Amino acid sequence: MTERTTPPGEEPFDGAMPLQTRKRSVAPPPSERVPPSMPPPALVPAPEGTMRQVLARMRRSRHAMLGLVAICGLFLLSVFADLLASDLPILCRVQGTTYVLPAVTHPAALAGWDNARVTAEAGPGGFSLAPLVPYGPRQTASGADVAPLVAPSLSRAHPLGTDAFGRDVFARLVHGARTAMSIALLAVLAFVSLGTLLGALAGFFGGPFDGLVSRIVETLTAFPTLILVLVVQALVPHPTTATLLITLALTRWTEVARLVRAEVILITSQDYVLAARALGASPARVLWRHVAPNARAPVLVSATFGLASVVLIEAALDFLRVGLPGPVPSWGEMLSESRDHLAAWWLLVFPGLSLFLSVVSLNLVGEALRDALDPRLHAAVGGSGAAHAAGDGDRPTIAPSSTAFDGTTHA
Amino acid sequence: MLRHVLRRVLWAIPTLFGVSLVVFFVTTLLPDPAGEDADATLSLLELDPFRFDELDEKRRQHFLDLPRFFNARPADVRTRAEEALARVVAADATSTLAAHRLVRMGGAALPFVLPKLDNLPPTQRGRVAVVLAPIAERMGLGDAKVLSDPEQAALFWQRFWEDRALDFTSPAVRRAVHRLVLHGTDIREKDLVLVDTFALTETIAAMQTTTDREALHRLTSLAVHATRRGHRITPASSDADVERAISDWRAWWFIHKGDYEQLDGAERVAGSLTETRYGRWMLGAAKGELGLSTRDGEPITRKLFARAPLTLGLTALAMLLSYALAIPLGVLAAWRRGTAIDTTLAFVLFGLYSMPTFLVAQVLARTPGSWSLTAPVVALTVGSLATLSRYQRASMLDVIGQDYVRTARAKGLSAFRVVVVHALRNAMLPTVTLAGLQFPALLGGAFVVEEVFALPGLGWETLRAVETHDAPWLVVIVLVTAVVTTLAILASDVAYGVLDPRMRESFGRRGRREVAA
Repeated sequence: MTERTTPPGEEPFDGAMPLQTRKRSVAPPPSERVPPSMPPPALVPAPEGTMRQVLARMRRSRHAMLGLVAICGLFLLSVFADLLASDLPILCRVQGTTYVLPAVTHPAALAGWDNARVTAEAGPGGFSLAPLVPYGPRQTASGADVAPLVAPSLSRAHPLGTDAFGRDVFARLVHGARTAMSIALLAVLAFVSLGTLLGALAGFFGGPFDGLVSRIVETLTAFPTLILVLVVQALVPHPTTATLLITLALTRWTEVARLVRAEVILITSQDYVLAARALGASPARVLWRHVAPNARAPVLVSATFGLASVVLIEAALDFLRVGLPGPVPSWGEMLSESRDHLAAWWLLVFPGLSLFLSVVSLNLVGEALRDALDPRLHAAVGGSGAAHAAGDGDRPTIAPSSTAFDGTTHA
Repeated sequence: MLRHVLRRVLWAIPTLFGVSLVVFFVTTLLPDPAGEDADATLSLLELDPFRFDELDEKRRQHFLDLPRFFNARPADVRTRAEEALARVVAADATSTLAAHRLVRMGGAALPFVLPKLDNLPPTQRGRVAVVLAPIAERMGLGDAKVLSDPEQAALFWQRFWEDRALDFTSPAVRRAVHRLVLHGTDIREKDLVLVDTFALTETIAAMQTTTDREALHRLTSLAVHATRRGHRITPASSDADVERAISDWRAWWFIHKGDYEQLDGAERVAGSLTETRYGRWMLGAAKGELGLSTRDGEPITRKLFARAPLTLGLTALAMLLSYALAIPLGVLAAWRRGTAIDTTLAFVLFGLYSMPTFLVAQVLARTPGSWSLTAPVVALTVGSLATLSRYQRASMLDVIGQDYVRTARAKGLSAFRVVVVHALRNAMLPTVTLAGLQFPALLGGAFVVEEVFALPGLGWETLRAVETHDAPWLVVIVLVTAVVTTLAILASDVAYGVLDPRMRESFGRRGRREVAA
């Protein structure tokens, strides 16, 4: 990070993290005042410091923390879905053999079993520790105790009722959270990587490649994402989860590419990057050491909003019955079932609420992140938490670039 | 400003072209709806020729018999006839199909088949001659016994060609058709029946130019006789029937003319691009015919015009409603910044903002009572209302902080007057520009809303198309959305320029610099 000790006039003003760089350059500690050509002493790396600062700012915002807690809860829920609702026990001993989490390990001996059968046939010395709700997300009405369209009650069997096939709503809700989270994470990972790669290459090399990428970005932006995904999903001969992920990645990478490209162009035109290159730094090093730390923050914001939008689009596609194939439990699919059974309010309310709350949480975190990174806000209010509390926090950037405003909520 | 608009429009053309190429390529990955299993097709031809023709016709309607983007050997009646002849002569597994095709091409193929008979060995000559029998039957010549005997049939066709080779020339046929149109006589009609499908080019061309019912009757009768399909126009037909029959013949000719017409040199070169699926589709699109839906066989163009008004109306209404509500709300929130009103509004709007359109629609759809268009519009408005008013509030706050607003206040103007008269005009700019981006979002939302409320708009139609893999409709809907959103973005740019003179200036400058560079 030698280049960081250049005079203040040559500091990058990129809009992403001016506070941090300014502080460091205005009063560099004596130990850091070294000629650029000398190897740097052990400094605190700038990017981590920035991220820490951003996190510190976020921590002061109550809304952001609320959203973060909710998202963490959602993650825990989806990770431990099998402990909450499953057709097989958490721990059981059947006919002398002990099984731990058979729903996850799928032992051959228990194939096709359910909780009732495990309890009934446990044999001498057998026991079974059933999950909170002893039904799996795909377990349909089989026994006498499982009926279609059971209304929610406080009984242990079906606290949130069952759907038209007798599947437990709570189980589907919890496993639907897993579906939503995994699809969202994978899709975001895919489109962030794709966008970063293309954006970085376009910004770095410029020329015809940049022109091409920019044109594609512009073209894709002109399409409503939902329509595009819908059509591609229809044109793929055999839609699977993988094709859905690929489609989402291919339609949503543009935002990230635009951000990264802008950042790359901005940073690579800085004098300190020129100096670094003059010192023999390879393009890869420039990208990694100088551009990446600066681009990380806006990409993070974009990814957070991206999570919300992917959750929404996936739910909308499932709602329209063109999303995930087969009996994968998902909120959108539950909501689409509610179209056929208007009287079963629990099929609308519970998945709807889950969807709404997770999108709200993701948006809250995204907005808090963006505010924490917005230099104008901190210049004005000095980074105090008051801004967020008073509702100044929901100040959108006035540019058609903001991820949150490209129609993701209209899925 | 004008230059900016022009540049955008000019950019949009290659972009749309590229998009159409990509989407078209993706649609060709779909399995062939009529099936491409050659063996099954052949056995179907023997079992059920009518069903075979039906499937074949369906494939050709969607140009599935053509390559995707490039045709190295564009086929015309000559190449098709010669190929079919070679296969009949070879008497291999595909000769039944070749014979079927040859009979369908009929008179138009004869000039490329009959002269070659002389050079064939007698058995093969006989085989070909027997295959051609249905054509003679169509012309009303010869008797079945003669035509089914190889030796006699070969003699018959040789004699036929000696007598009538001169009739099979375009000038002769053109003259004959012209006379038929001018003063239709049965003799003239009989002459034209004798050249069978060879007269189709001129017959169908004449249908487009004449309006005389009697002539149209004779022309369509000829075409029906030669092709065994289509509609006749009778002197008693209504205007609508005439119109429909003629456009049906035109559409049929567009698809099938390769079976009856010869390509000249230039056409052959162009044919490598036009005689492809994409080329035919583009040629049709240029005439406003976007192909046929594979779902119900209806023309896409007609469907588009039937479905679009509802969707566009829904979107426009939702847009109007959300602007009408969002601007006052945003201004109110900014004006009463920090008060309970502002906080409540921020809270509610954030909630609405995170609300998926389909969920709102589903909740509203369950609400009892007859809503007609109100509920769909409200469902569609919710999301964009939240976005827009949050924008409006932010930009209002920006403007309120400016010096000129403080000056206006200091002059003693009322707060209301300052906000509404001085600040609002500038504060509305960013929100208005947003319309271009809101439009695609609303359009996407409209698709979902239509499905929930079962409104037969573009979205409803698209979902049916998704279910049935109706590729022609999907290609068109992607292009239509692209065009509509491009126009919307362009319109909002123009609106920005009109509302803000500084923008106009900067557009102009950028244009000039680019021209100079």
